[in-house]
Amino acid sequence: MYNNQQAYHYNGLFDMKTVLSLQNCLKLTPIDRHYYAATVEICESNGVGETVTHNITDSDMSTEDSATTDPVANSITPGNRSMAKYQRLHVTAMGGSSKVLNIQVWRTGALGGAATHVTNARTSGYVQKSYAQPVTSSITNVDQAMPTSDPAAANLGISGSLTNELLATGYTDYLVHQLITNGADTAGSTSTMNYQYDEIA
Amino acid sequence: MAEQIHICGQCEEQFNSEEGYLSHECEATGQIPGEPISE
Repeated sequence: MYNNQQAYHYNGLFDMKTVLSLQNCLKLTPIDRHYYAATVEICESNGVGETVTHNITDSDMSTEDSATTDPVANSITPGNRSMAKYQRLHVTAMGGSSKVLNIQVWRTGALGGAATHVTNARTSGYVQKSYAQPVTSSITNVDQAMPTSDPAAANLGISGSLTNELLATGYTDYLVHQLITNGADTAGSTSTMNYQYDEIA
Repeated sequence: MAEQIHICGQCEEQFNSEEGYLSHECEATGQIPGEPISE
């Protein structure tokens, strides 16, 4: 079981930033990685025709549809929603593994003010989300509070099912998530997104 | 169907196909995304 963490720096007014360090988070020795570990990255999709930014290093929550948005220049007006994020785990190499499965996603750390964080990720009643150009309005089925601890069961699917497995390189379903700020909110925060999966040799 | 654009989030190089991204040697990390990490 691997547990990747992304630090969300939530600076200024609703600026959420993700810092990704998969290699460090995998906590594997070089020989482990060579013989056993799949290579997994997090990708973000943007735009109408879907521009995919691979292996992202941060993830700022703002009003702009961009993987490299400036959250200060594109800050969220209190009371409004952020631009939704469409992100996937991407297995780019299987290494010595035969399958990747049991995808679990959650956030640790409080949000600024009374903001809430919603997602399509859920452990029951899961519905796969297709890609659509991100919006700042509400999205069907992106209405589940982002878990704030390990959900202890898959909450992000593969090809539409929480029990499916990646047997070769490929993507998980889209993790769609969005901040809903409160009109009284005045400051952002920093929190961490956690991505956990099982990998079978 | 519009052609997807793929961008490496590490070195910012842009590709017209996923295969192009997976086979490039990233200037930022020194790694080829489609190959297992073998440090």
